[in-house]
Amino acid sequence: MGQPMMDVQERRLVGRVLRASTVGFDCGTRGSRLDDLHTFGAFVKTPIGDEQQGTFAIGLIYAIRIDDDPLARELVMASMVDNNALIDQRENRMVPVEIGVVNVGYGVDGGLIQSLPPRPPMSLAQVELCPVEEVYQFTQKCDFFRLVINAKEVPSDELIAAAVRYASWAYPEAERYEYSVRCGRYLARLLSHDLKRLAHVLELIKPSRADRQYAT
Amino acid sequence: MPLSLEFAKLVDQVHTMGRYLGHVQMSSSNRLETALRLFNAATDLDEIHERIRLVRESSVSGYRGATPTPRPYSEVIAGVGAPPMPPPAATILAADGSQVYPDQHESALYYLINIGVFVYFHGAPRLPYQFTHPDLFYAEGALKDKDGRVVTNQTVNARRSLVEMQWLAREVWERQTEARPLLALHDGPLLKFFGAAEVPDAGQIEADYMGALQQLFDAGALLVGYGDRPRSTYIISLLHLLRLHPGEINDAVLRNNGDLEGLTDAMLLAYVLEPGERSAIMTQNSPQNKEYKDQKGPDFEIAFFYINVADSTRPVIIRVDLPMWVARDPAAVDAVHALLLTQCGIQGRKRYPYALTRADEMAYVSSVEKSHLDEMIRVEMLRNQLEPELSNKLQSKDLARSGRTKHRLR
Repeated sequence: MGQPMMDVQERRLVGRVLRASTVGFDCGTRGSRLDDLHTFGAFVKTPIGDEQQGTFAIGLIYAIRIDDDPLARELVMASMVDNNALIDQRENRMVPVEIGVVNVGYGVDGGLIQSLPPRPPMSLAQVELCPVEEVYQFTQKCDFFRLVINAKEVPSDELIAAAVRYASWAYPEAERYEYSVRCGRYLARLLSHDLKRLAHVLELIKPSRADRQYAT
Repeated sequence: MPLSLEFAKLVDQVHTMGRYLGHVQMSSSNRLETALRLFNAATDLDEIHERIRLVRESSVSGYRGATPTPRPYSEVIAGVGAPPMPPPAATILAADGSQVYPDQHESALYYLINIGVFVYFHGAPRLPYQFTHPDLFYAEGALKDKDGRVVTNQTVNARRSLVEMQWLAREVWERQTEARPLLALHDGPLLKFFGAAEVPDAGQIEADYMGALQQLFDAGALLVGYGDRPRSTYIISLLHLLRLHPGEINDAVLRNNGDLEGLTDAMLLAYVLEPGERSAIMTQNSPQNKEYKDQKGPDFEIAFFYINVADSTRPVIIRVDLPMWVARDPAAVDAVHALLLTQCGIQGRKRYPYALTRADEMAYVSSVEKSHLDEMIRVEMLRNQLEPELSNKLQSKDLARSGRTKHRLR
């Protein structure tokens, strides 16, 4: 952390913090910038406190919202959406996109901890995707599943499954199957009281045939 | 805290108002039939020209109704124009403005004019161009008249209208190499009354306004003044004039429209124009229009026509002002007509040109933005060792309003 802005842009900025608490935060970006960075279940990070201290919150994207406005509503009512009006809406009118993030950990002194961060990020702090190595390191443990399961107003089952699938891409192909199985085992313990729910989540994170073949 | 507007005391008044409006509508239907009959009979252009000659030459000076455009460009008054095909390419430019009026109760005296310009490239898949130009006026010369009084809102409006037209002209001038036609959209009428008595620099504003029109003419722009929900009665006044005997014509009978009084052109044309159709092109007989013509030449007389921009059975009549340099060119009129219909179609139910909507959106200064500006000014005053202070009146209003909550029965 604490790196120059160009570096952050090169690492592809997800957005900037609009509002935050220790539980999670919302960040915003322009509609025209919405791309594969903004993925449900993606791991993101944002500095908390002084950037020089290198402390940062780690979260999962659980919602991506695009608000409407009266003009957009009128354009939708037209029999055919005018192409130039469409690009005008997306590029010039800066349709705001809000991205909801639930905190699942934080980084401090070079280590990664799976618990709520000590402080929320400040307004306008840059939010970026976690690098692959960080996702790999963070997901060596599954303790953050409990935070997601207990989070309010979050589609927790789908979010855990999306996060597991997302994180599996940070693993070498030979390790993916084993990673998925490890997550499944952890979930089995966590949701042992609710077998229907467990079955649903396990179905969602079931490794692909390719992963299984590669592992064997 | 109770609401200060007690709706219970308004209920009866609103009921009465509704009945009144219904009555007005009912009583206008007979007049409308008469007007339609007169309108459909107004096919003899020679007779109409002769009647106009009478009101222009005699001692009569009070006729402010429509006249056919000068020969050979005259169109039959009762005629309608079918919606033409739009040109394959065009550049549509719109400029609109808004303002913050001077407020003696604020910590500093100033006014603001914010102009939004929007350029839409019809027929080309291109990102529209947009920019805003805010101007802050705080010097004594701009804020006070020669007697030291703070300028009125009317003065700010006049200055804003001028700047809107100047920015439109500037943008058109710089885009002469873009696809033609260059359609320049102005929100509101082109004939301006800058209010010589109330506006201190009205003469200069008028001259500069004409200068902007000249620039648009030189650039070959199709200038349009777009009038949404027009309340003008030019055609109704013409119909009133046409049914008078020549001997009856005097200022007294022209002061109103006789038994057609209360009707507007839009009410009449709602029964005449099918969706997409336009009315005949006419000009308004007024000293203002004559002055435009006398001062700058026949190209600068302002003509007008109406379009039904609706796409369904419920008519939406708008008025289009255009200078004679556009009105006398049938291809240019067709381009204006078709491009306005295309622009109005972009927003679905809201039949209004997209370019003007966006220019207005950019120009609009919200109350939140005004508060931010006031805050910026207060900070800057403090930085310059000045004590920003709101008037006692404004402070007490803010106090009273800030904690106000609306209580509703659930």
